Amino acid sequence: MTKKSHPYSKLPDYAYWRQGVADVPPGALDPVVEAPFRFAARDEVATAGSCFAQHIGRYLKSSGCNYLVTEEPHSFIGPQATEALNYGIYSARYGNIYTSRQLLQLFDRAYGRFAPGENYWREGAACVIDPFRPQIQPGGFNSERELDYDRERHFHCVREAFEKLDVFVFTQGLTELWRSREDGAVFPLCPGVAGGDYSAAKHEFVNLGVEEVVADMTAFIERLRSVNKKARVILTVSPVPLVATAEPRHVLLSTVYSKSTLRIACDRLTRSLDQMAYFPSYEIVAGGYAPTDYFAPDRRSVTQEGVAHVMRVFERHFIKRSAAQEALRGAIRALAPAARAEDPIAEAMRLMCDEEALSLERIEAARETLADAAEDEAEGGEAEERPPPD
Amino acid sequence: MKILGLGHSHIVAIAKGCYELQQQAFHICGKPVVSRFVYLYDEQLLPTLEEENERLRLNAQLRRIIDDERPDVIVLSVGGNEHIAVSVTQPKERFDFILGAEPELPLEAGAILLTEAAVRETLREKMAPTLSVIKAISEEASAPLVCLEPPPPLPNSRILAFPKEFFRKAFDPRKLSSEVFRYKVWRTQSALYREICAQCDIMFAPVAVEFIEPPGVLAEDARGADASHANAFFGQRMIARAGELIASRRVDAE
Repeated sequence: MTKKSHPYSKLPDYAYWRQGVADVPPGALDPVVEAPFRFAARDEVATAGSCFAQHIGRYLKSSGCNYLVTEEPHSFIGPQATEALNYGIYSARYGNIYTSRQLLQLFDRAYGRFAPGENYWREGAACVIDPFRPQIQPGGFNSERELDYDRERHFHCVREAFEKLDVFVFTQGLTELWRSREDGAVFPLCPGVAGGDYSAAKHEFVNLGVEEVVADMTAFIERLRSVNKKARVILTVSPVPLVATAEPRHVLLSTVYSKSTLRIACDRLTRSLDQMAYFPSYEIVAGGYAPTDYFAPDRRSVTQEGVAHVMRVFERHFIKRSAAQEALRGAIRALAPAARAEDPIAEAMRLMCDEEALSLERIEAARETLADAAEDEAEGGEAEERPPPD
Repeated sequence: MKILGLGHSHIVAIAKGCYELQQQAFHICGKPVVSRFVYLYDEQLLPTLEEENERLRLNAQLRRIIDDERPDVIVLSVGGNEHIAVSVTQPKERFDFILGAEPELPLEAGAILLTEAAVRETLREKMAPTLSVIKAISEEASAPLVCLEPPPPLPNSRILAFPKEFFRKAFDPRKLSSEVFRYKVWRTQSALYREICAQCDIMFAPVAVEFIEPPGVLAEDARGADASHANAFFGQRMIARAGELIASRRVDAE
């Protein structure tokens, strides 16, 4: 029988599972076929997103790219304090941006288009938390006045980043969010977890669908390009699972829902908008198809090896370097201390992973319950041995 | 009442003050005060923290001193000049901050406003050795501990009179910070002392208000012979303050 021609007969290797995935050596899985654009190492790249986005920024900085940071620490602030105050993790000090709605509202707040009613969370007399950056600095702010000053400068830096960037890399993390019933202001963390007081009358849970994510991102990109025509956007989906779900179902189901929704939204956006690319961080790490397991024992933290794989693929397809830049990068690599490949990067991620506050709170609650139980037990035991009162 | 004093440069004024009180037959909790003061930069006591079984522990010789002396109270004046080291001059981009405890204090016109957290966390970084030593002492000592608040900053006139205390070369006086700014940094430093004291169950003895002159400098009658230290009179009052704290803790315990 002669071989007939059909749509699959002349497809390239990447279109076949065996050649594209199964036969690929460990660490070589590369699901990017052709990036719609590449950026030069000198181009200014801004980042935002959920915890995983921090790795992209770190990589860009350490590999000699032009990582755009507009909110720099004052020269007085020491290196450890710089870290504690979350400078340089992202292009401006906005902390983690988990959802498309949060990103859109950041833009609107920075440009004075949206002023949320719930703008301060007061914690006692000497602490005010920024509801939109609840863990941005230890101890919060000492007053509304101090927060206002800092926020004004922060918004200036956010605007500067949006207006200067050549490329914006946004790592989408979640679809679940908590917002104000009054005006729809979205908080990165549920009120009450790291500041504020949860009230069912004031706050509501929302789990975004594909259409909502697409609408948010489309609106954001339109606004971004209204202030910066040259902006190119790379979207990715964080492979890091949800810490907790507010849906009445198992966290694994909610994780798959969130990631699937975000993945479909990215597909829709890259098909409909120009100068948009999708980068498959999620597929490389969490697809379960790479020969190496890239999750640490907690099944949430991504190993250094996993991050390295993701960034290797990112570098190959998105970054354009001259020979001189390649040489510089080689020198940087040679001078950098060797990383331990099998170390989980959980510690680094906790640096600014607001979501972790949810699980910490749960551990604290469990500890308190255990302590109460132990106390009750001790009181009971003691009562039995206590001599009768005179 | 046997006092063991441990500390760096500020302990000198405290020791002098304590010896003067002893000569006046000063009592704490009804007992005459006897004391020994140990300067932590004594070569035999360095490094103050030693690595032992992968953790930092107080110098073995210092541990022996604490054990041998069997003090009723240990008075600490560890570190304490970090505030002046970071605040005596202003960087090119002058800055200021709102002190949460005294928000009405003036801000320098035209200065960049940092958050108090930025100042506090930078100080925490500079004070890391001091805070580690205080913690290590608290882990080794069985006697109650009192941490004395370091003296507030001295006025510009003193700094300009003793520039070599801070600068190797001649410095531009225009870079000198304002007195109220230095006061705010000193208060921020004190907040870190209070924090470590609360963590380690150490009593904190604040500087008496009469030793702080407007706009927040060490009162003239408490100044030492240079641009950062206090005198024996200040030392006397701080020891008396430590005594009050010890007495009130005993009353509470009873």
